[in-house]
Amino acid sequence: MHTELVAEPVVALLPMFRSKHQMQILAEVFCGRGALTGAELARRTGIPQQTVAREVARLERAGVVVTQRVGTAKIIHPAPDLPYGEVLRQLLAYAGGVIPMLDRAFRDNLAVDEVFIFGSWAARYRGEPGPPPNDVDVAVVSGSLTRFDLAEVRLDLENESRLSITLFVLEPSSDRLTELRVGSVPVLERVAA
Amino acid sequence: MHQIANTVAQRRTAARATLGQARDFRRAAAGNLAEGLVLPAISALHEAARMAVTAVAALDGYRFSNTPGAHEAVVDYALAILLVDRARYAQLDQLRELRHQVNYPDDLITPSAREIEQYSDLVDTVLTLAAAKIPASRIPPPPL
Repeated sequence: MHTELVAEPVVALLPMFRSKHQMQILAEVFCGRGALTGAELARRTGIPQQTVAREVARLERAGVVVTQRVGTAKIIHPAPDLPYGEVLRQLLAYAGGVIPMLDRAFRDNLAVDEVFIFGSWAARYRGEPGPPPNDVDVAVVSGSLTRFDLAEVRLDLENESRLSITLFVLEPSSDRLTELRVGSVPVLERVAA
Repeated sequence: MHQIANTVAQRRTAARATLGQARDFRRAAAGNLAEGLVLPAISALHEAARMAVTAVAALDGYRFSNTPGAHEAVVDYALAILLVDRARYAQLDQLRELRHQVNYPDDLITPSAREIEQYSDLVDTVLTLAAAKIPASRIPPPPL
């Protein structure tokens, strides 16, 4: 009897994680805003809540994350004093954790309309074969900010992710946006009130 | 980065000469901007900032080696000796980064008028801070 297995998508950038779902969950927990519930994790990653619960349980058994019950919710944290925590965080940043890191860096800046990743990192993240990317090309859409204004944000991101981040700031009216968005990885998009 | 075994007087002379080159690049940047040559202006602004920091290093008895990573070392040195604070350090590094993005299409990297003004003001500040550290040459006393 032949059993056909349906594999979950793999992490093309760093195929050492069990699945892309596992990497995305770890990336949110280790590189995102922290203290997330399963429902929030599911919303942020787009992964079904049941899959999130199953992966979190598996990671908790392995001692990588811990959960804390608050009322009916279960809050998920990185395990404290994890001996390889820093290394894992760095690997996660390269594999996909830079997405929640960017979200955290720009979410509260109301002058930023949209952030997405394009170029070779985005292509590898989406599974396109090719050489490992050397840097992460980040497009920031803003009508008022410049790269100069965001210089310290870039420095903080580079220090935290240990990746080379190249920022491009584009006006919302830029002709290049449509072309750059093709094959890009969205980070955040602010919906006009 | 090498240490140079020179006298204080020689270091001062080298620092003043390098600062003079930094000012020349700043003037070149202004000229480029007047002609609408934005990317050459960015390159000249970067050189002006780099030479200003190099001038202070020369005064301290150091020379940056001409090897890959030397431009990063100059920016790092500016922070290490507290010539600039962390915000200006990040802005100088962004200027260096922009100068090295020649492999990207021009329309993606060409800065706006406001951004050029920001880099120009930064370079002027760095030139002022560097000049404040380098003693001006004195008129020698008249012969007896």
